[in-house]
Amino acid sequence: MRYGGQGRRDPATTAVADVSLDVAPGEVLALLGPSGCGKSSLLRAVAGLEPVASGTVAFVGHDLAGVPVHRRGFGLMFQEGQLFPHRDVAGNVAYGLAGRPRAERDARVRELLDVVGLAGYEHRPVATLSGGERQRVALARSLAPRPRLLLLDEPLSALDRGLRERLAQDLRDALRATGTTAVFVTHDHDEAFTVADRVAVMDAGRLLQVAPPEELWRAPASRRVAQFLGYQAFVPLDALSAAQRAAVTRDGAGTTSGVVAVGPRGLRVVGRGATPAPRTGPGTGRRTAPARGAARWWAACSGAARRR
Amino acid sequence: MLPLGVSAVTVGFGFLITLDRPLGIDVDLRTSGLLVPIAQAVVAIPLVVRTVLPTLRAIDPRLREAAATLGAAPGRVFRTVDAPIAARSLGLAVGFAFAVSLGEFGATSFLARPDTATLPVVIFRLIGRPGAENYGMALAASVVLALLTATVMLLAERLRGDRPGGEF
Repeated sequence: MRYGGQGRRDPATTAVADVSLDVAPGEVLALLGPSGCGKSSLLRAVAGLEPVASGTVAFVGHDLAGVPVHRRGFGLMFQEGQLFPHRDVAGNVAYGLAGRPRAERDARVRELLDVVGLAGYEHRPVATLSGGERQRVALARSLAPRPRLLLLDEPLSALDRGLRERLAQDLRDALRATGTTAVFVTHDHDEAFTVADRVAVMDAGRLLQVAPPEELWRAPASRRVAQFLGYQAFVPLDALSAAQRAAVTRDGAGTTSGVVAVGPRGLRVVGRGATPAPRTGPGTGRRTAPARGAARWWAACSGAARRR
Repeated sequence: MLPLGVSAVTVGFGFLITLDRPLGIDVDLRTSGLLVPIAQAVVAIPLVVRTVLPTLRAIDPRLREAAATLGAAPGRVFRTVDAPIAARSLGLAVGFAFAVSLGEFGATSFLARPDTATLPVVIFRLIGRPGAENYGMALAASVVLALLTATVMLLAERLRGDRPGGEF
């Protein structure tokens, strides 16, 4: 699967430019980027829902230009599910299975509802489902025709945090279980890291870095990528002492140019009680706020506001 | 919307003077029983459009896109997505059109032939004649007309149900 150097042009804007991505069979690739960075446009272009101004979308070597959406064999899952309101759960899941024998269709619907954890929901009207259940049905529906490639457009963004984390895990299991090749668009890096084998970071219509989650986290290619991943403080290496440099770089103190990014939990106040006192550490304490089981402390150091 | 804005009398009169040879076809529609239904359809079409169009417009385009990515060709998308969702409002529209046609007077009074009058035209004719019997019959016919219209509208409203995202 390859889409090389493609751009989508509106009369005045280019949503995506110079993006070249390959997806291996069975791989789950996450497209990660802030809202409006062009990742959804890219996804829609791959699905054939948006015209591509230049560049190609190709699948196993075949250019897909001119192939209409319904013949591409690509599944697409939307943020709000887009279930058919006039069909029940089974009717929705079976939509992509038209033309197959009834018994086979029923078996496939049962199998997929089982995969997404909704066994026995066949005859429920979709209006009675909760947000999470709808997304599960939408996933089952898009997996049912065994798409050659499944495109997921922020499928979990409309859900609350706890549900999102649980569903991200389930989503990964479902994609694994069915061996589906998938491109997953999200603005949430935790979600991308949970679901994907590789993560492509996009910003302003350009591709910044493509790497497996651990590598991306360990060595962001640029400050922009690091910022987007949640790194907040950036310290030039030459501002550190040799001992400090040795502690933070891989080759000891050899590297002197560059920037050290400090992650959300990179610096911690140890001891002295759970909450840092306003005057702990270098710099002036500004405010503290509880965050996920720990206290977060904002401080001003060298004139810049930094979060610890 | 034009047929709603134009007086039905004008529509009826226009039909009378133009439809002796419609579109060059050698059929005199003016003597045909079809003329009244055609005129009533012209009067009722704006209502049908007004009822069905908002529902069709309200269908999220992504619903059609979802159908397309599931392998549905455009024809199947229309058949399985647009048509079922529009069906209910179409039922309501048919009810409206029927009720409007039932009570339509302006155009029909011009076009109805003496032997095949509609209910409102009959009522008008009865009132024009002297005698308590005719007057009574007109009253009775009015009650029948009112009941019929009310029943049709009630049925149409029922059919529409209380679906969320309904029109009107």
